[in-house]
Amino acid sequence: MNEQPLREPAFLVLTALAGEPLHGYALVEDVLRLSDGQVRLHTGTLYGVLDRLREAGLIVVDREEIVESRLRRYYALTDAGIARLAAETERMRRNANAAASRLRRLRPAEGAI
Amino acid sequence: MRRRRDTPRTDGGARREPAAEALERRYRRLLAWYPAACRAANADDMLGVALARSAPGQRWPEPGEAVNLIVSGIGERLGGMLRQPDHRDTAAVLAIAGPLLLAAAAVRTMASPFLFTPTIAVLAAPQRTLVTAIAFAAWWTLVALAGMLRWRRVAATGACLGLAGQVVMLTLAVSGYAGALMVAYWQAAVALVAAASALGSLRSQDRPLSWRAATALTAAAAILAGWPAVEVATVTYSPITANSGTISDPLSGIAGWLNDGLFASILILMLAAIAALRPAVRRRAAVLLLPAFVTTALACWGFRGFLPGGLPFGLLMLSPFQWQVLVLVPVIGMVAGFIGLRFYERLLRRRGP
Repeated sequence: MNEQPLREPAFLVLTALAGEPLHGYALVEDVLRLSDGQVRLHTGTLYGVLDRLREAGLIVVDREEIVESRLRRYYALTDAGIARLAAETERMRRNANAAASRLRRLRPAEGAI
Repeated sequence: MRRRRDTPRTDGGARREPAAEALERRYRRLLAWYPAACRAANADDMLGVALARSAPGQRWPEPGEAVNLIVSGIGERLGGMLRQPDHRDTAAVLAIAGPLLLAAAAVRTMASPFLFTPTIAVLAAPQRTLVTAIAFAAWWTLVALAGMLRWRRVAATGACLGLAGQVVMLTLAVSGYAGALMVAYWQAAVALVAAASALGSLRSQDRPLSWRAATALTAAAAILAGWPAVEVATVTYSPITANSGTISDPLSGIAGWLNDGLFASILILMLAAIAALRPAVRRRAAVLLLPAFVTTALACWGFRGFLPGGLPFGLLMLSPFQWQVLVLVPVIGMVAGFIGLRFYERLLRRRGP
């Protein structure tokens, strides 16, 4: 598989959308929550990520609403997006398991010193 | 979700624009950095997010948010350009033509007759000049070859490293004479275009140059590089003492004519190479090369300081005004070229296929 690993903002946006379709500002807030306040997406960055994910067919526009005379667009995961998020999660789990396993082996050695 | 509160205020009775309106107007101005198609698709939605993030009574966008919108907008514009095959293919052409020109210029320095004339060679520090010229000639030739062979990553990496080298040469030349400075200046400018083009053509798939165009370009580069070699072959130096001698140049009477003729040949060959490109690429290449031609003409005839090899002839320093002209003319030339191209292509679209 030649797919590049997802960058953190894209991964977090897909994760946020795995809950339910969300609009732009709700995505910013949800990503902030999911990342424990570490990732606060700027508007330009968010729409760059959303455009790329749409072009890749990982998300679609679910619906549009007018709230307080302003357009609000909701985004949702596609089947391809769900599959990609699952694959990416598995890849990260494998990496995390490998790191944890090495750290377990390292700790007794550190204790012996 | 945080809510914004509109806080209209008055100053001395004069009605002041409400905070919400002022903020929205400023965000709209920032969104103008995005291409029109992008704005049409996302501007309202983006504006909603940007305003929802703002604090109550806020009149100005946060600096971080403003910078992010500007950078993202420029990125979208550049990305949008490079997604168009015409722009990508033009970049691929320039990623070959630029290095070829720089390699020829370096060979020209290597073959400069002055380096082989001992009295003058002392002034020109020939050993260092020669080694630098050989290194640049070899490097840019490899970059041009990588571009022709469509080894895009190799060409891009090579062009970026070459650009770094040319910038070092420019930095070393800044405190020197106008002749050396202008040579370093145009070479750094061409290297910048070559590096940007090589990066922009990373995703280009097609063969960038037809054989006809590649032959014409190579011939132009060969003339540029080879002419000093002819001079070297004809110039003779007869030493009188250890530090002096006489120079005999049988071509000196017609050197001016020959130089003009050869530059005209180079120009014609380059135009032939451009003419061999497909129309959309040809137009873009012409626009991007226009600043190079204008700057060359300015340096050659306007400043009288465009000397091969950057030898210390014409001991003049650039005045602040000349500096400004030298920097502004290529930029204005390119912007004017792109505006003209935009109008021309709009006209072509209106006329239909």
